[in-house]
Amino acid sequence: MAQQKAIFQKIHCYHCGDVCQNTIIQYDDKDFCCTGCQSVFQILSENNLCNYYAITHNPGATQKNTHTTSYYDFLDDQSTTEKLIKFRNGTVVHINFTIPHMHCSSCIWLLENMCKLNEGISSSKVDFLQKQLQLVFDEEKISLKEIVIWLKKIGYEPNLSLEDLTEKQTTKSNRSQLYKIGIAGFCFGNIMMLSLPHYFSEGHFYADGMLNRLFNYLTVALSLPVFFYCAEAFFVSSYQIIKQKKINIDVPITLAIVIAFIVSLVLTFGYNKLGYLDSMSGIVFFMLLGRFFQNKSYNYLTFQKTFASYLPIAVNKKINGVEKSTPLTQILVGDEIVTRHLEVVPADAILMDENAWYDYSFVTGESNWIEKHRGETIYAGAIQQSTATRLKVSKKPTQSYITDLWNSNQQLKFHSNTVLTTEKINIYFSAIVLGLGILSMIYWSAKGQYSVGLTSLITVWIVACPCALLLSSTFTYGNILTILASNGLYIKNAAVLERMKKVNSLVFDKTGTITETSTSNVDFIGKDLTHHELTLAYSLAFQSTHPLSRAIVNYIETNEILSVENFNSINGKGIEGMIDCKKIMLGSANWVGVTKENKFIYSTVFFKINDEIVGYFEIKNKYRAGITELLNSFKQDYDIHLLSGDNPIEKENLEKIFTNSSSLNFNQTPEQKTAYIKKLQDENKVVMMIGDGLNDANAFEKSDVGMAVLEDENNFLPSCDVILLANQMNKLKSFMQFIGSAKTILISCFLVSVFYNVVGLSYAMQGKLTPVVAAILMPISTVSIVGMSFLFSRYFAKRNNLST
Amino acid sequence: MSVMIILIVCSLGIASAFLVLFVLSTKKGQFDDTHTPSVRILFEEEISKQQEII
Repeated sequence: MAQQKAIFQKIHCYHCGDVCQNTIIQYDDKDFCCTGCQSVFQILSENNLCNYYAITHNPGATQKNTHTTSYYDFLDDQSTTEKLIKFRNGTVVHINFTIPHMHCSSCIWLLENMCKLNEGISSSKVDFLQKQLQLVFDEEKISLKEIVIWLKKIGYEPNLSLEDLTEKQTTKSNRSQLYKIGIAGFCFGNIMMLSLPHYFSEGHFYADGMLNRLFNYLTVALSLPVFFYCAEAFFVSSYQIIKQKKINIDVPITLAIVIAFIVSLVLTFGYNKLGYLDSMSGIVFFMLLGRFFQNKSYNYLTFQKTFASYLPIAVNKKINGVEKSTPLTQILVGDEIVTRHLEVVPADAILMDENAWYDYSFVTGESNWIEKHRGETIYAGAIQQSTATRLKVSKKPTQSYITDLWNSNQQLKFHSNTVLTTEKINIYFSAIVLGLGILSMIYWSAKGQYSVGLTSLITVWIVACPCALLLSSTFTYGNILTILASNGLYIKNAAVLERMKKVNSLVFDKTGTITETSTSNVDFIGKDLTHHELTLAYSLAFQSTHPLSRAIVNYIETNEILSVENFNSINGKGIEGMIDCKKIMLGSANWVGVTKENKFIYSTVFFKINDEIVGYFEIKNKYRAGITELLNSFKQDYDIHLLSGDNPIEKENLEKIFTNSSSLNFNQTPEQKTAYIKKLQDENKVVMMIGDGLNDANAFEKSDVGMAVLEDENNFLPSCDVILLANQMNKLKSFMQFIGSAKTILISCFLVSVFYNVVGLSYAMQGKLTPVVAAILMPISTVSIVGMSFLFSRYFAKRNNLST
Repeated sequence: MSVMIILIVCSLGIASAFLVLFVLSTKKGQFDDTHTPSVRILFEEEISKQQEII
């Protein structure tokens, strides 16, 4: 039923939605771009799962770059599978897979219907945000390997990397935070309710002393879990920081909580009066809520990757001439391995075949593929671009160049918990408040009114707790991070956000950052080619694996291949052959015999039929849409630089975009990039590095902010502070402006909280602040500040054309 | 005024019941994934053939 036809118009694949190139396969009246996509459709339709295509349009992933089934042979190995399995109960096995392709509701539907495909699978459940699939299956009916192959067959190949074999730590911190918020909220609400009668009677509501006492004791009982459980994090953090003889924002909070608690206990048990427990539990509740909001992590994006997640879980090892899929952990120096098209070289190795092509762009930034010959060393991390080749491992995977690159200096910056400016302001504020409290006590004591003095001291300390100030920053940052995330910019934490406000120099990487990674732009310059002539070029280029030939093959969309005789490929020159009794040549200018010296800014391939040079193909990097406008708009406010690991072939083009050519740097090694950034920093610049590959990892670490540009959310990237989705790159200017406006939002919120504090403090210093006023002031100020930061951040987002 | 005591006991009891429910559901993982269930609920058992063609 499947048949092929030549195409001259754009047809989208029914399964993956890609434009069908070269071939389309028709099956069941639908078009598919490759047999992989077609077979996924076939499997789904045979199993009555075609709803998949009804929920979202073209929901599938292209099936062109998947592993062969035999790749998964390592799953036969018991010791490997045991590490992957999460839980086992007899023959019933629970396992979690990470499915990178999971992206829409169709995916959820299909994956949750896995049990229809095989009766061995008893349940399948998706966690969409984590891109996790939880499967329960019966080992007697279906093996783990079969499940993985099923997943591959329906187009959801799970991501099995070396990292999965190492111990996984599941974070339960999120849940314990929820418990704390829940309990604090419960206690806070009930304490408020019990305190209500007191508010209106200044603490002597009942003639009945017994009821009075009951209310007070209940309040104390409810505050116990708040003090001993919910507020624990503040105590621990301030204890640790005091031990280091430093101060952070948790110290004044802890002080306020502890004072409020002790004073309230004394008041309740000594004087049978209501204390400040309502305010105390309120502080704890709102602070916990604010922090939860601010630290809401994007758990499916990991900012800190280890090299292990880049390396495959298994490689094909050749033992006595037979290929066997072996876990990478069992590979030793001297082993012979086989890597296939688009596989990652897992360890530094020596090439054993005649020659092969490698894509090093991720490791070095070099955009052109590199040809390696027999006996040369291939570094781990390279992506194989030619067909299967044999390699001899020369270093263990854990000792290869890529690992060194990874581990060098990946320290401090990604771990340190820097103090935010707003927190610094808060610390000063706290110091002032402490001073004010003592001053007012001295004032009243001098007048002889000791008890008023003591009340004023305590109430000043409690009411002016930096809570409101702190909430304004936690909520504002929380709002900004959420808005940016919904627009495709993910920032690790508030400290990074604050550093981004100060950035004045932008350093761009070229390959993959301002150019698109995989696609190149091909143009033909010369006379208009007939269909037949195009077919001639196509047929000849088809014979070669050279990247320029591949680019030409991709550019000419035809499916006719004419047979080539006397095909000859000359290294560094070009290819030639006889087609239809015509001598066809594709190659460099000198080689085909172009006499006129022209300077070309792009890679060029000349096309010669018999003795006539019909023209040349121009192969250039494709810049991201809108990149010129973006860089131009940055010129005014920022220094922009380019650090590329690639050759300077596109220099002239880039000079038009970047103002001065001195800021363009080519052929940069990772070390040189780092040095360049250090040089900028020595000139007192605040540098943001925008890059994408492992070759930028060191530069990320050195720069003040490291931003990784990500083609799609599942791609691999080095450790960084900020992740920007590549298709949102043109919005970078708006993002930076929006981040800049954070200051305005913060200042307005600060002013409001200062106003509340002034009102509160003026009462408190007079010794007149009753629990009633404290209890009213605190929630009002909190709610109004939270509301203000919410509205303001959305207003500024709108103004910068960001969706909210 | 002793009616107050009964009322307080009642209200605290109800509130704690909710707290316990909240803790239990958190423990069961109800808040671990807040997105997928919102999509899952929209799936129908079978979508008609006509829609499938579209």
